[in-house]
Amino acid sequence: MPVQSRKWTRIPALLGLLALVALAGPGCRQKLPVDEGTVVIALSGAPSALDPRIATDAYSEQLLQMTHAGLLRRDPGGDLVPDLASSRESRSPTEFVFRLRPGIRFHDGRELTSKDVRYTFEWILDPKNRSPHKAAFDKIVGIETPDRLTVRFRLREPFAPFAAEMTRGIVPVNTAARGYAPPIGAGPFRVEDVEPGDSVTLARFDGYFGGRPAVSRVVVKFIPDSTLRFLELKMGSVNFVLNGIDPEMLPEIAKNGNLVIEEAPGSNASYLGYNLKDRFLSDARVRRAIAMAIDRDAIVRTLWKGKADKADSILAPGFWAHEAGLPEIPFDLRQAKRLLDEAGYRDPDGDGPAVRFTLTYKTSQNALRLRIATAIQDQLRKAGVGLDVRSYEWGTFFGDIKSGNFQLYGLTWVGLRDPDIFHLAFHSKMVPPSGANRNRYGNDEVDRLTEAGERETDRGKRKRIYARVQEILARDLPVFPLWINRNILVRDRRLAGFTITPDEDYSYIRFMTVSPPAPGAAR
Amino acid sequence: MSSGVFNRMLRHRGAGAGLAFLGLLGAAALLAPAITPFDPAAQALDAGLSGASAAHWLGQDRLGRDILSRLLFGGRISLAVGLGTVALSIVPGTVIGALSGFFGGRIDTLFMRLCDLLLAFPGLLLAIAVTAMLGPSLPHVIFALSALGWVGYARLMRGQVLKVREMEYVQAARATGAKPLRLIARHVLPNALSPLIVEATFGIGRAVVAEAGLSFLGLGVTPPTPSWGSMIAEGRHFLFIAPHLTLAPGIAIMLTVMAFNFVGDGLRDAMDTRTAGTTAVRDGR
Repeated sequence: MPVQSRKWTRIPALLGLLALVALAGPGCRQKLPVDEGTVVIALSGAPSALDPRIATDAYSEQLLQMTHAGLLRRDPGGDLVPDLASSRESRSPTEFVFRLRPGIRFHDGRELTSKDVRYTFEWILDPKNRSPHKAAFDKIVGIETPDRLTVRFRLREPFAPFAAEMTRGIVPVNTAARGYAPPIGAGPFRVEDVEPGDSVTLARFDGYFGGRPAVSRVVVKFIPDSTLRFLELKMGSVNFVLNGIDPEMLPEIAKNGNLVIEEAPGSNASYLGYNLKDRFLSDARVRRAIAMAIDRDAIVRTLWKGKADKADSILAPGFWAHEAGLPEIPFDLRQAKRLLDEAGYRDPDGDGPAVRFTLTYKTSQNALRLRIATAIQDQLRKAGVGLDVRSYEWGTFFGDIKSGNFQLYGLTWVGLRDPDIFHLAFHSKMVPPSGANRNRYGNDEVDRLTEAGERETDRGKRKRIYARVQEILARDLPVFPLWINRNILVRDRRLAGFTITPDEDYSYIRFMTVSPPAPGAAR
Repeated sequence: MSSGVFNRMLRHRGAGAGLAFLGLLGAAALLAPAITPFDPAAQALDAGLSGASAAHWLGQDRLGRDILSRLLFGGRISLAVGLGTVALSIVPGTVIGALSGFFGGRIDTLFMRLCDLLLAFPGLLLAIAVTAMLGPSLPHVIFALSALGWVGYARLMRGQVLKVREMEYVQAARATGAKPLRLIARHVLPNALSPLIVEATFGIGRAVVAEAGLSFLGLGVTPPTPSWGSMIAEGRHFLFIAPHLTLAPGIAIMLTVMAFNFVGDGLRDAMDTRTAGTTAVRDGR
């Protein structure tokens, strides 16, 4: 029967086709960035400027860590070590001499000399350039360049945080424009392409003085939505995300055979800020009562899935200036209610719905922050304190915090690298715009101590000064340190060699390698 | 609405079902405090993202709050915004449209150019700007959505009045010496209202969606007050591990808007003078 025989001849043909498809399958799959040796990083926001002289936001700083180099840098332990400089010496507490390594080149091939270093800092110090970093360097009274490789800084008075500020990236001489383009530096990667608001493509700089990076190309994508970051990681179009995946999604990530989760200690400190000029919050008993009514263990366990540790200071426990043994503020609802009663705010109906008073809590529109705010709202209600949670877009929110237009707010200190933060954030003269004393805190002893801490260059003595500062702050509670987040890296299995530092230093991308795909592997 | 229209509407496939659903929803929203098993704001952090259970029929959200209770309380917000917005839009819309159409001339030019100007604004964008400026709250959302909402009613009313004012019975009343305001109130308005009522039903549906959009963007009600839009916004981060957080309010919005649209369709058919066989239009021809 001709029809039937035709049917039978079709089967081997079909099987052959299936085999072809099966064989072709893995080879036909779309090529991913990792297959081409490209690292694709997702950041949660776009940088404001790729110019180390004016950038202040975390995203800009993270990009600049890959493209620019400073006189000093931090090693994985957080200690300052020479970078562009081959040596540094301090002949007196007010004089610092840096000797540059010979033969360092900028991305455009020009040699980096002492003139570039002087130019960078003089540009920052020039008032007409309105650099936000000017205050950090205003102790400088003179920058001298005795020869091509030597820079000498003279300070008005001893200033301990000076060395920490010397990590700022150096730009070539005569790049006058704010946010000059292309943003040429002397870092391990050069900027190849910028898509504003979308991505920046970096190519490895073959002439980098620290050795050619192994990865030829790094694409940095700006993806504000955490769900999108998660999806792109799963698809493989992004292969490196540091602290950008919601804790709830980590079990889903762990199921993906191509992705690896790494966890390391962090230094980003979340805190509850009080307005000390507020009629309720000027009373330390009210501040303490609010702190005691917040069940941090529950929030860390559930909303952070344990990826954070309760804090007793805005400095992380691993940091040298952190004071161990500060009194912990326990979760104690009874004591919180007693303190509020003492302060004269009695609960009109006991445990009923009426509240002692209502405060406004401001937060950004970040979903996790808003969720935490809602959890705190529920917890404070049990102590009889009403909370009106308001979330604003970042610019409005941060503007309100700086101008003092708030009662309570939730915020995170990112990248704390020097205990001089206590001067910036708690000295009575540092109310914005001069500094970051957003809580309008004033304490003569803290003023004196933080000033002394800036002048003291001996680390042991500085530690003792800041220990006392932390004790006073733990008593006065101008802010309530909530928790320190752990650093969570999600990366493609084939990427290796990155060191997670507590301050999320992206410069270690230069040590990363991409291994070839395992034979027969398919996504 | 006469009982004839109502009966005709009920015969419309969908309108009856829509009306029944809305009746149920209205009752549930009204009685929410009495019938919901849990306080919609009560948290149980450790039970976050739990699925459906005997106690929590629709599961629990990230903060462990009962989704069913939040859905019913959220229905109050949606219905309040829908009805509030339409009420606040239809009154000025009707008055302006009627005056414009009846008097014509400069009044008409002035009002209609104003309408053209306002129609040039993208509606939701203006609502976003208004709520962002005034701060998120329920009255602000209603105000923001009504700020432009009246324009459509005004134009519709004007068109109707232009048609009705030329009818013989209006001309007759005018000839007997009736004053303009009496003419509008007694003879023109009652005969021009039907399309507006139909349009209002669709308007409620649109306002429900707009409120969900604003709440999704964080510009609606403030936490912990539940609203369907904010429930979707909170749930979307867990779309892959707990889709029920978004599905429940999503389906609620869909069904509610569909119900209002069905009722609107039914009303239109029931009130349509051509299919209903009233003589008003035939007389005018």
